[in-house]
Amino acid sequence: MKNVFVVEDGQTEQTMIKALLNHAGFKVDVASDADEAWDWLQKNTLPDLIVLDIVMPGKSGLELCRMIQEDEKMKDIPVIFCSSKSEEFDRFWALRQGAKAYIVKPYAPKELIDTVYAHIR
Amino acid sequence: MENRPGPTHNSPSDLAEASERLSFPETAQNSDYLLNLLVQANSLEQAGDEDAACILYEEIVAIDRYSSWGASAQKALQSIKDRGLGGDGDRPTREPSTDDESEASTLQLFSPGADDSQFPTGSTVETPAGRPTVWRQWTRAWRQLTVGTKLRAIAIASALLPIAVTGVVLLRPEPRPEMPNLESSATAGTRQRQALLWGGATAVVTVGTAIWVADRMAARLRAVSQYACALGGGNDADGRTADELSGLTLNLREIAHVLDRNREQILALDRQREREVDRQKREKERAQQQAIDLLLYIESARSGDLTVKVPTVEGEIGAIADAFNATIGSLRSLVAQVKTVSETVNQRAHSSQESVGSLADAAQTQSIELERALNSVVAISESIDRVSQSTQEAAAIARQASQAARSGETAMTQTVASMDKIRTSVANSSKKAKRLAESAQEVSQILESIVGIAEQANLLAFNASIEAARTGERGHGFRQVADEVRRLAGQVGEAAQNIGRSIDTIQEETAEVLNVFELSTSEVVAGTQWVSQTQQTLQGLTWLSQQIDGYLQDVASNTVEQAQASKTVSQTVETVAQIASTTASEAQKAIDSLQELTERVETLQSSVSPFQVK
Repeated sequence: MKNVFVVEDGQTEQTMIKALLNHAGFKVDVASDADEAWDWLQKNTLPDLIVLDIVMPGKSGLELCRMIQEDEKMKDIPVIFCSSKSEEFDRFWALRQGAKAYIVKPYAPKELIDTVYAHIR
Repeated sequence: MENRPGPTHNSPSDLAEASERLSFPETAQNSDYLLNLLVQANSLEQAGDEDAACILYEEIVAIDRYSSWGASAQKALQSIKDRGLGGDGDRPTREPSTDDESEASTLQLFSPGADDSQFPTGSTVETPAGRPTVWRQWTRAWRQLTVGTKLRAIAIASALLPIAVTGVVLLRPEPRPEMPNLESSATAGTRQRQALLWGGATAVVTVGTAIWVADRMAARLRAVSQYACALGGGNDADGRTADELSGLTLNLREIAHVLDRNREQILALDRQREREVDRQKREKERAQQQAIDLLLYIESARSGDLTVKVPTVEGEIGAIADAFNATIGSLRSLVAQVKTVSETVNQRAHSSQESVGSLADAAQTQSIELERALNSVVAISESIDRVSQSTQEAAAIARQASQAARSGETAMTQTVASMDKIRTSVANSSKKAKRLAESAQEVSQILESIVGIAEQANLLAFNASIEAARTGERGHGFRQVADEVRRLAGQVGEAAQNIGRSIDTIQEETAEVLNVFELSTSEVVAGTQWVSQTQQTLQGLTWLSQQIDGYLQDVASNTVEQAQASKTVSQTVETVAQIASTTASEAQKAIDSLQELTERVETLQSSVSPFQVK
């Protein structure tokens, strides 16, 4: 079973992503902010894909993505941004940080699952 | 695919309902239910049953369109709709605007001025030809007239134009230059015939034009009626009414109803648009505020505070802020590194300077010490040479000593033999002296007997003389003889005493001789022992001399090696002294370099000191 790691500060969003991905057959772990996520990544088996929110308290998803890209062990994990930042500019900048895809909230469930399927390693 | 109109999206009642729901708190129960619905809908969509999925999505939207679930469901409906359009129209899936475009094109098709699109329009005035012709001006003016004016103009034109043309032809004084073709054909006919002909032709043309215009207007009217019918709910008014205008009227009533229904919706949309405009305004203000904040952060970073961190926000400013944060982060770690490194380098340089200074001093001292050591080594070398010579001399002496000891030993053996002989001779002499002493003793005893006899003879003679004296003369002769005997006895006694004295002297001397002999004997014995010890000592001496000789031989060969070694040592020390000298000068150079380095590092430190990194 493939593992997906979701970093999202919104409780509802977290629940929804987890439910959708669980239902699609993925094992899902979640963290509510970047520091918690970084700790989790240090201590657990590395996931097959990471879904990141951008605006979070503390470090942003962009910073976390850069940290992941700079880590020798984690840099090959595909990252998907899932954010309410809908402007083209935000998409451009998020993808420049090394992410594979950018999904705008609110998203259609199928879009999320298709994107995860398309990029999971 | 089915193109769902989605009445739930737009109907005013739903909008009102949804806005009411906005105020409801999102209960956990509600969330669970919506989540469940969403997951089910998604499974159906994934399975390909999009109709069923749409129903569930719509239900989610109906329950709570403003929650995350509702927003997702709306997005899902939109994407299903887009895919449906894409499949039917055989064109790539596009943003929702495709729907608007198709509507817009439909509107344009039925718009009253649609036919005019085939005429040159105002926008084509600035074509490359660039000459607004009289014809275009006229058509534009005509298009701007109302339908009544146009009908009146056509009626007046159909009545007046033939009459006017006939009149002009009849009353024409001479052939007109504007119509050369008519003039060329009219040269043979009469003016009346021309007038009839022109009047008739003009009438035909005018009537034809009027019929054409009327047809076009009727067609437009039908199109408007159909469009109104379509707008009014699709009931075919034409089937129930006498003509287009009646149908149009009915349809317009329908439209009025629809418009009434839609007014509220439009008002709601207007409110929404106002909200949107407000939102955009706030968004713009927020962006401006964010930009100002960002600029302030950049300003403080520029003045050296690298600890700044711009909060992450949405939008362009957010992305720029994020990039700024990342850049400042890199710069911060760089400057921190530079600070740390320069401090370390400075400290190290200072301590190195001291170390190298002491190293230089040490090297200098070492150089001097090595000079001394070199001298010592040379002295040692010389000493070793001298030792070598002395050793050889000592070896020779030891050999001589050994030989001397050996000859001494021989002499001692001979001495021992001589001493033995002496001892024997002394012993013999002693015995003879003892016998002499004994003989003297015997003589002395005899002498004592003689002295006794002489004394008795003296006494007897004396007694005889006395006896003779008493007898008178006849005893005289006897008295003389007695006196003579008495004198002789006296003489014998004296002689015996003299002999006794001589014998005493002999005895004394014999005793002395015996003493001397005893002393000589004990001295000879002691001498023999000493000689024997001396002999042993001389043997030991010989052995020692031989050992010494052997050791000295070893020492001699060692000293040769030592001499060579000391030569090597002196060369090595010389080399080391040179190295020490070089080290001292290099250390001085290093001190100079370190001084320069310290100065540069201090410059660097003062350059980075304005930056705060902690």
